[in-house]
Amino acid sequence: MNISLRIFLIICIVIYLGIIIHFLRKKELNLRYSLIWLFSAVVMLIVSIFPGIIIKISSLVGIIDTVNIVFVLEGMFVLLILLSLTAIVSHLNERNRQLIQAVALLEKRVRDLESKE
Amino acid sequence: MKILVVIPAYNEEESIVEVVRNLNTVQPEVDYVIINDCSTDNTVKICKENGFNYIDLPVNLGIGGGVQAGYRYAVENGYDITIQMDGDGQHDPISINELVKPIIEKDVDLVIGSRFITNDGFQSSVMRRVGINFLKWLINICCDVKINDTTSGFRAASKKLTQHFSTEYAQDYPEPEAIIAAVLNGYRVCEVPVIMHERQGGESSIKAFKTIYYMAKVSLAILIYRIGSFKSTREKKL
Repeated sequence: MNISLRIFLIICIVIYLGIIIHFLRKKELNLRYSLIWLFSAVVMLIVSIFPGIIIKISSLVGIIDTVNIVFVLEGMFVLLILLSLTAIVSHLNERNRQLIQAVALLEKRVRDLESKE
Repeated sequence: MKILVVIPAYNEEESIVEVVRNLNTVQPEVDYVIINDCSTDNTVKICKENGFNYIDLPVNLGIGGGVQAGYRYAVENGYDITIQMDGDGQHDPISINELVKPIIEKDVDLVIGSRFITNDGFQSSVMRRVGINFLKWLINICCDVKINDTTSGFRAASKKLTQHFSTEYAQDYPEPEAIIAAVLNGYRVCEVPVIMHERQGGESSIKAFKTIYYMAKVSLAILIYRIGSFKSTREKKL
């Protein structure tokens, strides 16, 4: 990786980190759900500052151009974040269902009580 | 013995009155509750006008979530046996006696009403029977029980299993999955012959063009469930 690409990457990641922290401070992001975003930013930052790590990895897995492993890494993070989003949606869906059932059961009880009076 | 019949209903305005009247005359001692799953037709209005006992879900949950609301209602009101019966008139309430019998006499937890054991009454289409046979085979190799009519929505659950279903119940196409869940959690499952009619109104939740999607999803759900509970069944056996 040449030096200008590294500087470009570092600037991008710092902006990216800045946006995440801005959202966190404004409470528009839940810290629990943004951990994976922060984690990805930190890993990318480390990789850009110390490219020796990924040069080793890329020669291990047989990638000739080290820039490509940066893309692979990014792609993996995107997949990971998407997966975690699906997990969050599933969890919300489950809780939503329980709430709907609880509301329906309560509505029935209220209706029964009202008709008794 | 307090028995509750849960009738999930989605757009059943044509048949629901008939189904409830029939149930009340044939089984006067049995309580029922209709689960209106956010119908877009007049199902709620009809229930209200006739003074039926119903739960009105504010958001559409699908058959699984609807039936589970029924199980929760059964737990809250302390019922001993919960029966699930379709709102389209396919299931004959006379067969409730047969469904309940194994639970009372033999301590079984889940009784499936099957239309295939004695071939009485209405038999379904060829396509659907092929699918049902496949599921029968899959459930047989996955958890070693023989159930012929795995998609039957006419079934009875004991108090213990009602409690279990009220906290955990399969969602999209729950019938075959619920059998697996019961067996793999150590409940006893059996099957009895029941009489089924052609539906009086409404549509099946399993439409023709969705059959492949349905089969793939259910098969996957069964396999995942099987893998997920390998550990617990092994522990039980030891």
